[in-house]
Amino acid sequence: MTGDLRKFTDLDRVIHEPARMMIVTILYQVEQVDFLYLLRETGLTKGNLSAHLAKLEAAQYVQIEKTYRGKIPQTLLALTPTGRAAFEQYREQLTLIANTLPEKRL
Amino acid sequence: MDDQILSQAKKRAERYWYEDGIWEIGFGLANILLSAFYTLSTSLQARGASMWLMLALQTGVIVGIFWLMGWLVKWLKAKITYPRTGYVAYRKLAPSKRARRVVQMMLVSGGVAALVGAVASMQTYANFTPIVIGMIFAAMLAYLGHRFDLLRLYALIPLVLALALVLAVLGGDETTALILFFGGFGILFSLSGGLALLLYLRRTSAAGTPGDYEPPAGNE
Repeated sequence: MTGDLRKFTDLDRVIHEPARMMIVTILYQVEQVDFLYLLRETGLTKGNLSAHLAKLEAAQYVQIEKTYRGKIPQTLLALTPTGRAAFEQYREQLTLIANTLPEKRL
Repeated sequence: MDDQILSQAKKRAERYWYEDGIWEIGFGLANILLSAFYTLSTSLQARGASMWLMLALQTGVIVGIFWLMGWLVKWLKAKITYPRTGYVAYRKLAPSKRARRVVQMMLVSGGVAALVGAVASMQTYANFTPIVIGMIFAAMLAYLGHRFDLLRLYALIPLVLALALVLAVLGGDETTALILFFGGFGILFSLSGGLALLLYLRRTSAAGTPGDYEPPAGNE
């Protein structure tokens, strides 16, 4: 069990934060979204979402592209191949850990 | 991580495409235009136009109508939806999956065409072709309604079946029944999309200056 428990420390800490996990889960299923869509889907505040995106960008998990829609600024967001691979590995690790836990006692 | 969470995220993103009703308006208009084209085509054939010419024209017109409607849907979404609730670009299918999807679609289309042809060739007291087409459209609505949790599509099913039944009972020739079916379906679908769009516009507002990404201080 101790060996299994140590797997917790191997979890990707960049993704293993509820808000960032939510962002990455949404981005994993699409090609690209804009900031407005992500803001609406996650329910986070503008500042909070920006901060999490900056962390994901620093880890090279998310690509942030500043552009314009007409005269209005638009930020396009997409998961990078590194981010996609990291998320897939994170999922595998999480499943592995969950499977080693004993059944819930009733 | 639970696969259900991932599939829910995917479903929400896919459902977003249908939420504003714009796709329904586009598909409804395409059906109305198809109906108008077939009316024109029937009248031209009656005046002695070559069947081969009409067949070639039909292929071009169908492709043209759906291309035009695809463009219109994208344009409307860029003008109405994206400034209000955001933009999503969906993941493209892998080439192998895309090829499989094309083969599946060809098989289904071939099956449908064979079924409709067989029904049309039967000598019966009523015209069953609109019923067959109506059931196929109803099945498509049920599938889309179930897949994307769109209740309004379920509401269209009895209307589509009623339209098919009325046209079958009225009898008349095959072509007229189909022209009326496609026209009627197009109107129903466009109205449903229009209503969905109206409700969408009422519950959302165009963000004047949309909440945009601002890199936190010291992060640039």
